Amino acid sequence: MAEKKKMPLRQKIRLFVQVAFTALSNGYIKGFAEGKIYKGPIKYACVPGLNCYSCPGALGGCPIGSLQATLTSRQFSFSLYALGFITVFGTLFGRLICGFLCPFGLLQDLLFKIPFVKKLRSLPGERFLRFIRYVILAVFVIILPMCIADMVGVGDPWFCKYICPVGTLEGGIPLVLLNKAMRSAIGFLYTWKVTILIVTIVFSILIYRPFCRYICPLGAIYGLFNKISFHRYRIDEEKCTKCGVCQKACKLDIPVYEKPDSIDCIRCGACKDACAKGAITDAIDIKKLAKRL
Amino acid sequence: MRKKKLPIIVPIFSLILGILFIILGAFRGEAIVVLNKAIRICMECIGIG
Repeated sequence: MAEKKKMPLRQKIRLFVQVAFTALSNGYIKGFAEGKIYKGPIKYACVPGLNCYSCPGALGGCPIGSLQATLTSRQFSFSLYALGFITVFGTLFGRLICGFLCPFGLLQDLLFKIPFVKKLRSLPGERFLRFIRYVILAVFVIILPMCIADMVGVGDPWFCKYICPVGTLEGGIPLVLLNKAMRSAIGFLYTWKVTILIVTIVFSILIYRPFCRYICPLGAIYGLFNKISFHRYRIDEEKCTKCGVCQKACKLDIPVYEKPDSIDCIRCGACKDACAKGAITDAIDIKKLAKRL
Repeated sequence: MRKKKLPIIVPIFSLILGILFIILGAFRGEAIVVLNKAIRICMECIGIG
């Protein structure tokens, strides 16, 4: 019998951080018990990952939800506040947030561990599909909420309303289960959103992180920060033999030796674990920095 | 060929810009809008409204 592969320490730490951060950002236990949401002042702030503020346990705001809340309001035509949070998180960590701090990322990671006859590394038209998240960001997160408003001047959060499966999973399902009045109010939109969630779950078993790859507008923004964030990867040209083992280890199929700061990289660190030469390092070495200080 | 190193000033500038955005946004009253949305169940987000 084939021996089961041991999980590298880095991946164990990542899983621990993912679980801990998901629990922390959804730590309002009372909400789950009573079918209500947290209404305290922590919700002034945004959490770094995609985490619906209508989840009964949510302690902070969702950056994309907050961005749309401002754009759809009567008072503001653009949002500095939510964009500021996204810029700070993106500058500090880039897409490390997707790899370590996003609850929906954790769910997709766990779903991908479910065995299946054939796992896919990519889908046909992968390059085009990865571009969709930018279209979703521009159209559903910014343009439509900004430009289409009702008679009193309030718009719809188009991404949250018609696309985001996180709201359905974290808010829709638990609140409908816990709240009788909500159960009686469900209609076509709820069915539509549950369908999107089911499709996302099924695809997450087949292919690694389909929502992050193709749909997530927050990941799309953080991806742009990968090139300038404090947390970046660096290739040691003297050690790297361009053998491609990093790309083979990468579940997102990124040629790390060529593009260490790819917009698709979620900084999971699988490439670092795979590189026997130790050619992939952090641009800012925290250990060295700590010693110097 | 060696790749050019990113000057440290770039992420520092971006971080300061982000902090400034948060402060300016809060002064404009955006924080209240965000809080008001976040403390009420968002019917659109959960697929009801």
